Amino acid sequence: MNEIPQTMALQCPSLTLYAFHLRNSINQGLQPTVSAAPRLWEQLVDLGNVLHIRELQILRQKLICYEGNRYFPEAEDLWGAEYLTLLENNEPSLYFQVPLQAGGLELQGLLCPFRLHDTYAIDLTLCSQDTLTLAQLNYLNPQNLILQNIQASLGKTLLLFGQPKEAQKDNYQVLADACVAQLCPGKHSIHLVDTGSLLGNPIFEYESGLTNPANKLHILVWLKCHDMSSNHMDRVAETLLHLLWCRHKILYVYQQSHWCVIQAKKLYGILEQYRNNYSQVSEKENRRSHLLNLHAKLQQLELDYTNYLDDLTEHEKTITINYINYKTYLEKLEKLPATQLSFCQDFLQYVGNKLQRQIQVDRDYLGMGRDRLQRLKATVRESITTEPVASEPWSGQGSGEQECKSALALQKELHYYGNNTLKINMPGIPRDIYPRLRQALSDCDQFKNHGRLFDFFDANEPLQQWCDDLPEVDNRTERAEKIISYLVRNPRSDGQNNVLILLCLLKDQIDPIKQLYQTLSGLLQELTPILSGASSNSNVVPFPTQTNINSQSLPKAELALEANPKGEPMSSIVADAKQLNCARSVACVSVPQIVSDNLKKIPTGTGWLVTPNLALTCWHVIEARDPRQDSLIRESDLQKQITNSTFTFDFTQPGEGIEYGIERLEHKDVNLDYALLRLRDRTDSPLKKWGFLKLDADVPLTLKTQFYVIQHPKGLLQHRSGGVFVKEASNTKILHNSPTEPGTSGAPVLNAINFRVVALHNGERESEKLREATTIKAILADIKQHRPELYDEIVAVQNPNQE
Amino acid sequence: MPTGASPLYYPEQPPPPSRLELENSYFRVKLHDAQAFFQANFLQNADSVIFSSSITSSFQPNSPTQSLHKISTIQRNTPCRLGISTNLTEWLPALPGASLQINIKYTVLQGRPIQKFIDHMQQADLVAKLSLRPDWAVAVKVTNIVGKLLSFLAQEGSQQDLFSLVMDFNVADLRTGYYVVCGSHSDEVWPAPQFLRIDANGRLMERSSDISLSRLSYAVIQVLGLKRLGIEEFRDESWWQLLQTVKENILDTDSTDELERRKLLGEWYFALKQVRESARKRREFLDNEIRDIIATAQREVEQKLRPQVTAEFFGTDDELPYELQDILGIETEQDLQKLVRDYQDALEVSQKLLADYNL
Repeated sequence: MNEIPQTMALQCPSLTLYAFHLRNSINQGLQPTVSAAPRLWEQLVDLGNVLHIRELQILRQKLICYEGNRYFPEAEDLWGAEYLTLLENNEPSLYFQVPLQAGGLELQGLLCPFRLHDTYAIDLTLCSQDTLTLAQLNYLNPQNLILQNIQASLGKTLLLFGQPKEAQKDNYQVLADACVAQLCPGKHSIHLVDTGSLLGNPIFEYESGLTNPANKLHILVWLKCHDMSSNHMDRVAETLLHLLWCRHKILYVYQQSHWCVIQAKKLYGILEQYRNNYSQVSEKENRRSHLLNLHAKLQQLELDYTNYLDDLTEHEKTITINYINYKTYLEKLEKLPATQLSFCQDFLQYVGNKLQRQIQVDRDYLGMGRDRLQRLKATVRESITTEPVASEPWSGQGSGEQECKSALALQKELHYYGNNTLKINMPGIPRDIYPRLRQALSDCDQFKNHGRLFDFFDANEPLQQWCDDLPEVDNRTERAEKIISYLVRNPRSDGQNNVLILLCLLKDQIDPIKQLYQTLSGLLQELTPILSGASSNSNVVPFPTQTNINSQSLPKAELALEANPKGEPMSSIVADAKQLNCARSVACVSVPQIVSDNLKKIPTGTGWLVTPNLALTCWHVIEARDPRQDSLIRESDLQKQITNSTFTFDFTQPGEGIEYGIERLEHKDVNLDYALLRLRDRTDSPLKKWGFLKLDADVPLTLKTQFYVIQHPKGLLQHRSGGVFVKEASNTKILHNSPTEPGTSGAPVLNAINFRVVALHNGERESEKLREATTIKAILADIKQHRPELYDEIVAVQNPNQE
Repeated sequence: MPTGASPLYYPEQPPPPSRLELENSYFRVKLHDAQAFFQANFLQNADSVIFSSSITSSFQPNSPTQSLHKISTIQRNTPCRLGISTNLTEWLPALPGASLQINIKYTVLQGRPIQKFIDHMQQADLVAKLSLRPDWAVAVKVTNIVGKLLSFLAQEGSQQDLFSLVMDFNVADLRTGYYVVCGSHSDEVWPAPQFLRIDANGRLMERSSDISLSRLSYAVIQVLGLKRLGIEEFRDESWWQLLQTVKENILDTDSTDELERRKLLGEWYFALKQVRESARKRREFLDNEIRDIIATAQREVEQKLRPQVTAEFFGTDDELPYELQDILGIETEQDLQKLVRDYQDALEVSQKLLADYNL
């Protein structure tokens, strides 16, 4: 690549930078993003300043994750923008003109900023309509700024695209080599990885030898030697972005896993040292004190060591997921005509053979260390118990017993925090309402300063509990944003919604003839059906009116009475325990979608035990077909799906849970959308330990009937949401308003009073913004009619006294 | 001082109203204008000129078609404007490997043995039209008739070919707009291509004014482009009829039962597969338009059969069923919506173009 034939040229060349930057990490704590998340956007603004590109200079104003010039990523979450363009008004891209280059060259530019789940991504393209010689190619990377200024934490890929001149057609690789050498002068470590064909045109992959993903250079050169349809090119652009995203995530996460291994190995070295310390304790005088000290250290070591091991497991999973996704995107690309990307296939092999295997080996090796650590800790604990108590305390902080207790207390606290997701009620303020809500709140006098707001929260009992942690900020608008975010993140335990309560209380302190009163009333009406879990009927007033909520005009006892006018159940510890008990019988259902004997995806739903080994879920979950548009499943595919499906119980922590296979499909009904399955028991973990849910077929449902839905939304950890019965959809189905997500199908809809299942959740009725569920009564009647022996089996378990 | 036929020129002209996009548009070749001229010393007794064409195409490689466009009286030293505007082809798909060879013949007849016949033809405005599609069999018959007619005319009077203008079109390089080919039997100065121009009214002009077009024979060929034909053109297709029948059957069915609805979906996809396979064999149409038509029908059926409830199982995104992905070559519901919307837009533009073309 050293000698560059300067006679070579590209017609209409373009240079695209695909950059991927980490937005979220498991280590971000309570912050909405990692601290360096906005760096990518700041770098683009800097680029705009240096190159005098106005559109980039004012980029912040065009991104939804900025409010003015302030980074405000919460806006993305509130607007549900996890896989979207980040430009305002859903604009797909931002066009700009690059000021004239040396030689009077005109360059056009295009920026597409995305959020891809936990990643910020950009597609930044500079292109020319002219024919550029190799020496002129550098104009596409003005002052080398594209490469130098944009540093993305997950990595970046450069794609050079252009049409070679006729004379060069016999030696495209020489041309590609020359282009890379020209674009990256002095980077001699860049080497050609492989060549391939994309839409019948040659493509070349280059890579630098650096290991840090942020610095590593990955370059593609795609030469347009034949015409391509614009439709195909659009598909390439979209799929390539996702393919490269997966690639960079895999490499980044592998590097992270490598760091974990190094840290864990260091701790392993310390373990050896502690083992020696233990053997020397017997020779010391204050043995108990030394043992307690050693035990505490071992506990800390175990915590750190386990954390690294857990991280390693998480990294391995992330790589596996991205490996599957990469493969899917690659298959999509290779379905395009005349496309053969062997270097992508090689990358997959590299991930499978090298990276994943290496992590496995490391994990196995470090797993032995954990066993040794636990054995040593047990031995030390044993020695402490046998050591006479008369030994002096090991430190001034209290006895060893106390230390052990505090360690246990810490563990409990961590455990509680880990399960906190169970309490989240999936709130969401629609993006069209949010700006009005923010404006209205900031217009209220109570938002003038932090002190007034604090006083307001403190003076109103329904909000008192939240006044101590109110976020402090300098201006009204920001205060309103932070308060909304704070209240959404910290829901109430009584099922009511803090945003609505705040609106109601604020409204009641304003003169009804004022415009702000009308605004707040309007917002209250709009948000009530969305946030309160109450009926969608706009006439329903879910919260007390002025006379019964204004704490300044009423005695406290009356306020407490009036704060719950519908007699809704309060959350009690016993109720929480019952919910957790019910949650044990609920599983995440994974069904491999097999189409004509080919595995396509692994969709998930929710299922639950109706007897110790019979489980109910939706038929469409087991069928793994979309009832909206898929035809009925073929019998052979169905059998394979059933054989390979799993129910995972106790899926309440990442990486945990116990899987059960399906012995057979006992019965199903397409119209009622349910499937009754017999699960395959395990001797090491019998199904009966998960219990089963009690059914309530004859409960009279009224507008006051409250529901809980225990579910695995998006195949994630178990969640619970709450809502109420709204109306009957038919003889066999009901509509409710509990928040649900894809992945909830098959979840039990429990009566909040007696924790018995009244219906099986099916899906969303979009026209009414309500959720549909098949009643247990209808399901039992159908089973009784078609499979009486199964009905008897269920009844015998559900009502043991009846027999 | 050349004689014979010039190369094919693409003169300066107003921008054509549409462009050709390979695999994504149709084209039609039209004989826009022609002129015949011969000098006084060439044929003493020339009385008529026959203007005919023969077309060979990769769409029907072994069946050249002949057309007789005009028989006109002619005088020496006087250019005879044939003033014709005839379609040489029907709408054909712009496929990358396709080609078209157009051979236009100017034949001069001497003597007046068939004057009466010519008069009759002129009165009847008899023009044999070439048709490559959809009724190919008719085109073959017309070709045979024209062949016999030309042969008959040749026998009736002594005849002389002025010259043939042969034009080879590679569809991959074809552009919409006007092409010009000049010819002369005797030595004449041909205009340089840069001085030829088509004005806004479609008239051939010579800008240098040193050379007169009046001493040349020439033909102006117009290539028209069209994004989509529209369903009217497909009504006789058996696959289109199958598609319509099954679709209407489903649209007329009132299914309240989920099982019944899913069965209907299965039948629909089965029919779509048959339609796609059958339609693929029809090289006379763009594969993309066939896909668009199927996609439009799919949207109608989908809207009819769409249930009120969206199932909430996770991991399937908004992907279309795999059988539909195979049939339409797209993956998501959004792709489908875009396809149907783009087809409607393309049809609207095409309708306007057709009105402007005034064919």
